[in-house]
Amino acid sequence: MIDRRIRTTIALVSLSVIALLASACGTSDGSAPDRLVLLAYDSFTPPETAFDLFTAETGIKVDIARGGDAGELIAKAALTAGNPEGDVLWGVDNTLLSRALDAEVFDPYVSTAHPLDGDLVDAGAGIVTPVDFGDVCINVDDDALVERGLAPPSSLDDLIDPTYRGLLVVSDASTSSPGLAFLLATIDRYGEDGWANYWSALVDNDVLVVSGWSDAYYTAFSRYGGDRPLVLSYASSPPAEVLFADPPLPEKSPAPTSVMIDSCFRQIEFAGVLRGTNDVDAARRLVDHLVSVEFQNTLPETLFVFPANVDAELPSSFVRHAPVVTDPATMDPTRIADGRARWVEEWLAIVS
Amino acid sequence: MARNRLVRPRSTSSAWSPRLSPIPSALLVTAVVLVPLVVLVVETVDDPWSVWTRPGVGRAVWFSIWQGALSTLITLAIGLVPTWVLAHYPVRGRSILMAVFTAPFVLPTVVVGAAFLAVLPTSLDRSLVAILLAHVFFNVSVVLRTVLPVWSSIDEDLLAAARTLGATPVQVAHRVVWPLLRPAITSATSLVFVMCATSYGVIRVLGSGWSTVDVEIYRRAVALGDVSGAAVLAVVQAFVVIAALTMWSRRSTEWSVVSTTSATTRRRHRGLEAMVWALGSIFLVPIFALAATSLRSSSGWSLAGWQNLFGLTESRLPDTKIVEAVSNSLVYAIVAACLAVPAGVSLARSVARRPRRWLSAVVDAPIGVSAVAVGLGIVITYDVDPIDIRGSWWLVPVVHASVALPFVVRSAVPLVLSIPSGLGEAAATLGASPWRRWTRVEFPLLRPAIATAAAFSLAMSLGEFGATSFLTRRDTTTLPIVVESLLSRPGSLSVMTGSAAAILLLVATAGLVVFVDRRART
Repeated sequence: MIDRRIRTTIALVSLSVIALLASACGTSDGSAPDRLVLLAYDSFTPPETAFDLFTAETGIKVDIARGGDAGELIAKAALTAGNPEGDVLWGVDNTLLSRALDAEVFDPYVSTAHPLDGDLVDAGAGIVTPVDFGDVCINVDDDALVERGLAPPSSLDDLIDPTYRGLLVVSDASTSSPGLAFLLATIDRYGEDGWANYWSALVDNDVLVVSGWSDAYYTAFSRYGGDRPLVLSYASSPPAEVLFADPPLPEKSPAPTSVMIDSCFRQIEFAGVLRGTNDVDAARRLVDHLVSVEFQNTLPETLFVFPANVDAELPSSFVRHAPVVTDPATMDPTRIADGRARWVEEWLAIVS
Repeated sequence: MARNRLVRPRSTSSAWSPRLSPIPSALLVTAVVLVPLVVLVVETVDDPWSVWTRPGVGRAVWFSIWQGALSTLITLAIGLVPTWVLAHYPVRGRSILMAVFTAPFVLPTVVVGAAFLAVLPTSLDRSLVAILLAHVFFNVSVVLRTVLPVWSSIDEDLLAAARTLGATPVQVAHRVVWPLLRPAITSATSLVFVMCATSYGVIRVLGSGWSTVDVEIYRRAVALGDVSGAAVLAVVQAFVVIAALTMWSRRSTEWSVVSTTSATTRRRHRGLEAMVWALGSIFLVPIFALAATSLRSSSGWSLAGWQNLFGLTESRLPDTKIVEAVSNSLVYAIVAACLAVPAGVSLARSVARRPRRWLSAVVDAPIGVSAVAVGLGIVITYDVDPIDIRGSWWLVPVVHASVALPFVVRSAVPLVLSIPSGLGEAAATLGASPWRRWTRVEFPLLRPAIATAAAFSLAMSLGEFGATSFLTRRDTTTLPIVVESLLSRPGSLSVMTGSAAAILLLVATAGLVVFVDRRART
């Protein structure tokens, strides 16, 4: 029985692999009391030192666990409500909030440790704490428009004017978060009865719908080799264009892109304590830290959002290049929850 | 029949009992893919019928099928040309060419999409043509890597003998070459079809307006909050794909190949060599476009992206942890290969000796199951304390191993089939110890299969984005994820650094593939 030995060898090897995996599992799972897990979307990149102060004060280390975009994050959180993958979740926004609330993802907690913008706090429905906000707006490649002899469009109505035919690229409302925000902006503006007509007019005016933000910005936008000088992005994109310009731009030079103020939709991001966390008190203290001035000051130039803490200071790049959006479109999370699936499906039928 | 002399029915008796060898593969796939999918369906589906009447679902199903078939035809037509030349003629720079054709397979689709859009004329942007071209670009390596080893192991003497006996070239092709090649070609065809029909990243980047079932699953689960509908689509897609692959695999394992020697006896043919290199250069165009993007600042050329990537200048970008990402990606790829290659090759051996259709079906499951569904399934399956493995670092390579496994098995089966049975028994009869039999007979014979399998596994793991991005990862990141996150911020430095990171990923992969190929073959 020569073969038996080989078989035994294979069996032993596979067993040891399984044992190895099991031991790895034993050492790395579960959150010990001296650690908290902060769930966040992939593009959440705070500075390395962002939690040092929190750790020094409480003795608790913070592990950041990322997993997908904001939509994927909430889809997972909704399925695991009550038995979460972490202790605190960063990054549910007002377009997704109602889904998280319906699934009872959060243990209600609104931080009062620091002064926060009152409107933003109200939007959190008493369940979650606002951490930042940003405006999704049409961005304009000014040079490219000048070359075409056009003035920048100033309103949503301009976008369906034949003058601006074939100049706009937006991202898909059914697969991207800015895309959905822009759809909501048009619904807020034109109402339940009018938005579909507006979108038909946009399609007639040759709007280009692409899958996601990167696709719109880095392939279709005229600044990066595309042929569309109007792109759906954020009000904070011009500061990023200056900060990350290569070659570096002089500090006081104007941003190469500008923002069309009329088209904006306000996205508010929240952080919440996940229901089922092992240590509610520690999780609450982490939420407090997320809205502290120290932490909030890092947000503008890493996540390109505006801080929710009213005492936080905006960096000069934002003061200089990010326009103040005075009257953005907003929408109640419950209205978004009721209409969302229907609107997106109708929208898909219009654009495809 | 003439062809029964050249090929013979697979042997059904074997001194090597395969009782244990298929088990690791089956376990891996069951644990990572099947159980989570079943749990997802059980826990979320409330109404299995309503999703079929939703707008877009029927269209997505139909598009998946016809687009998949068309993409497959074109990929085969284009892929078999360099395969034939490389199998029959010595070509200068052969391993570089192999790397060039293989590299696209591992690039994150976001990157390929951007590169394609940079190259294509604007009129073709986001058209069906762009989707088809991208599918060809991605999948030619499947044809090449599956068919080439078999084609080049066809004995030239056999063909010469046929010609001497008066067979016309057509008869040689039809009666000798085709029966020997058929298992590999069928395997490649079925694989390419499934890859294209379940395409996700390419469609999301290049196909505005088009939607496959996989994209529809994402849209339902994530954007529309209809997890139930997504789970129904995922499970039906998995069944259909597995059924299709199983049907084809039955046909492809009917015969085993007798010939063994592999020698390229023909002389170099400059015309054909030039043609293969020309095709290879076309494959390089999107890659060069990517390189150009990494060097193009808003005012001319600049090395800033590369300097930033390697930390040579003080970074103005938010923390990207490029070194950590590279080492993570390499560790994951190696761990995944250590799991997938032994499991896959031993399954291939056992399937080659005795077709096990249910087993093949199980192992094919990862091809047909959407990453979104698996990701959601995993978080609700392994969530109870003794097995709460969510967020463990090794979950990523284990998922990579199961994603790579079907490719590992499929690339190994034709090679294992071409190993003559009986040599092991002969060695045993002559008194060789089991260890000696393994090191002197079995392993050398399996080496081409192991090499191909390892190359596939490493490449798939390095470039894997979909499932990895969906898994919750604690302070770990991979190169494709860094590329994606760099490309999701405005500013020329972001896109330059992101493209540079994509080139780095490509070079790392091509280097690994060439290294493994050479090591294992010589």
